[in-house]
Amino acid sequence: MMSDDRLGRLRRLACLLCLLVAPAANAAPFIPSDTNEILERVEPSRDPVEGELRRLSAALAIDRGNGPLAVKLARLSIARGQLLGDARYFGRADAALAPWLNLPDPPIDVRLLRGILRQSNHDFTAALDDLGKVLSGEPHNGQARLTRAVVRLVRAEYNAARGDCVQLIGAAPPSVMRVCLAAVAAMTGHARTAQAALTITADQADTPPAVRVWALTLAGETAARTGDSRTAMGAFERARALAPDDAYLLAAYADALADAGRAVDVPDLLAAHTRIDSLLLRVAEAELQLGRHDPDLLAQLAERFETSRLRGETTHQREEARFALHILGRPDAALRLARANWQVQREPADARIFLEAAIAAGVPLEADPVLIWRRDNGVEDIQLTRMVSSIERGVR
Amino acid sequence: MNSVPRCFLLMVMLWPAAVARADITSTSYLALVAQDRQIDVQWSLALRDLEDAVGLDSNGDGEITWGELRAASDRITAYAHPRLRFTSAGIECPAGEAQLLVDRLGGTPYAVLRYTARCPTAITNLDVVYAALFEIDRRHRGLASVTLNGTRHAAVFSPGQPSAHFAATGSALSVMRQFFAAGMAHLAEGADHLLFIAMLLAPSVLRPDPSSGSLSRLADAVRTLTAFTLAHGLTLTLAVLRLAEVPPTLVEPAIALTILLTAADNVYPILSWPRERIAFVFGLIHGLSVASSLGALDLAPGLRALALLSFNMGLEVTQVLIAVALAPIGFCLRATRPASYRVLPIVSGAALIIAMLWLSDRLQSSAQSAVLRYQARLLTDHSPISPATVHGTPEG
Repeated sequence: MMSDDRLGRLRRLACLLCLLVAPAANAAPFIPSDTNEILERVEPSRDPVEGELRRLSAALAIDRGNGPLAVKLARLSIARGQLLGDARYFGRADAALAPWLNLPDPPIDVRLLRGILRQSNHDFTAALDDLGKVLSGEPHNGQARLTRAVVRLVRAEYNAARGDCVQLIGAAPPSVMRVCLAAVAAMTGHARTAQAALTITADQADTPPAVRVWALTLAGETAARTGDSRTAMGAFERARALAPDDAYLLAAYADALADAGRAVDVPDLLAAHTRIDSLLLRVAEAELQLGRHDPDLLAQLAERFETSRLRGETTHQREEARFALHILGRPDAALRLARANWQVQREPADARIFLEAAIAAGVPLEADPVLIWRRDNGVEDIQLTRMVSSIERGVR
Repeated sequence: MNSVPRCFLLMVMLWPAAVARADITSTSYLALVAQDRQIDVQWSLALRDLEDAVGLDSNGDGEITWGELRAASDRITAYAHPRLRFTSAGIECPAGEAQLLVDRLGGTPYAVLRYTARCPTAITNLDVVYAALFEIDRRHRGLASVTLNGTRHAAVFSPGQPSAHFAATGSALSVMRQFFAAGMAHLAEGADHLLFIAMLLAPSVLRPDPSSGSLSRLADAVRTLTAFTLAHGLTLTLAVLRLAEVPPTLVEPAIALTILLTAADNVYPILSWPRERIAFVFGLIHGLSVASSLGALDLAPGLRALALLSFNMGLEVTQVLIAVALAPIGFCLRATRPASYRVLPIVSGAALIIAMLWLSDRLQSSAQSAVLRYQARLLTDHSPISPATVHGTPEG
């Protein structure tokens, strides 16, 4: 136990040294010697969705004020960004909607997209405002209802979220409503029931593929939290077969693997997706857990978090806190980030890093908000339970 | 009929609602080093962003090779240059020829443009306007590191904040050093000032007057130069503080005239003034032209005074250095060549011819710009929305 700890500290020290040295070693612009050297892979312009996006933006470029066209392009861009985990597509949606984005009272379809875009920027308060206005005009707008349910879920406003899920009746396919309700139930002490409902929904033939992926991802997360890692892996694998590039799914799967002592499988799982910061972070965490360290990888990660910091982004605070704690071994910085992050979003992963950082910093009671949230809602999560009981032992 | 595409859209939109967390962002990096009159630019733009902006993947296979990138180099600079503009003291600094390189930043391939932008005057304050990629992706950011006269600044460019202003502030010492150097450079680079100084000093160095020794001649020269510096510093200060403003169309020909008169006076005494007075009166005119090369001097009042003082000190020191360098030449000439008295009229005659050419040149361009201004005024007077018409229109 003791030597493990010391080993970990040594490893971190080695990492820190690598971080200091590595960026200097590989930072120099150059002229490639080979004309045929492949520098970058992009979405081929032959791809039908990319083609459609190009066509729409070309059309919009000569007709800036065309609302329906802008909405169509924004919608498609958001879906694409979601699929690829690429926020540049959200930026394109922002650009398409630019003429309407700052209007106090934009048309309802623009307002809906603006709400979604604000949510993607973690501007939840403004997002809820937009979604609320959309819903007061169109109570049966399924997209607005569902988005608001999920924002409320992320903010741990479970009663309000449940209310939105219920009102999806008639506004969205029944499977959507079931998954929505199960997502709330999974957080409020009914993990097993939620798990069963999600599995049934995923198995039903009339469940649309996108909803099936959602249900399976949630099923995997819920199973992992209750300690049923076999069921969890099965659900994640099934989801991955349907959506191999889904960034959220991959992140959840990687976390479950690492918790189940299978960190060794994480780098392979994510190898093709390290362009996404949160996935690169998971690769680095897994490598470290396995006692390997790749200075290039860590330097890359450090550069990305530095860029995100310079950009003034706060959407990465959860990942930044994990980076600070797991990679840099700086519990104080991690705690600061995790606390700030908790003000914005309150999912189990947010609770976990907050608690981990507080314990590592030697001030476990700083994570009091997490303890209260867990107790009040009856959250089931074996990792949180393990940490909480270690704190309670310490307090006694 | 209509419910099918709506439902499809809903499904496509599910994920943004559920998790909307995308990590890949678009960032360009700018490293600017501004010193004297030039700005060294290193601008790194992600290949995937350039693909969206100008299209790099010419064969559409989803792979960007070095050959494809190089072939697009004209398109890249044509896209980039107008979207990154520099102005120093309100005057545009045009970009020079760019070199294209490649880099990897945070694991992402970047195209690197290296070029130099040249400003017409020494850079004391710099405005940067950045507009790349915002039309495509409103979440794009430009991260700039700016080194202005040795002091580092940072800026983040966004659609809401597309410009930044950098002033040469820094410590008193750095201001002193910078403006002292600017004073030296100003004299050394301005052919007209050098010629004027040479004509001022020529008699005391070259005139065959056996009664005075070399040291007293040098003292004469220094006294003359100090009178010049005092006068020069006076009008310079007035001009920088905007207490005296004389258009360059008058100042530039007047400077040529001062050289012409001084040179003529060396050949045949037409001014019948002591040298110190010539230096002082004409120095007043020269000071007015320096002001435009210093720009608006965007500094705190205390630092501004220091900057002006340092600038004049730099000027004076350079002048004295020139005098010290010239004196031995004159001394040697007089000691070794009995016919050295002919040197003064020959040298002054040559200077006179140069000054006449400058004068006619400058008068001509002043006249041209006066004509242009007159025409511009005619145009604005006849434009339909002159201030008079706006105010003259009765309400309602």
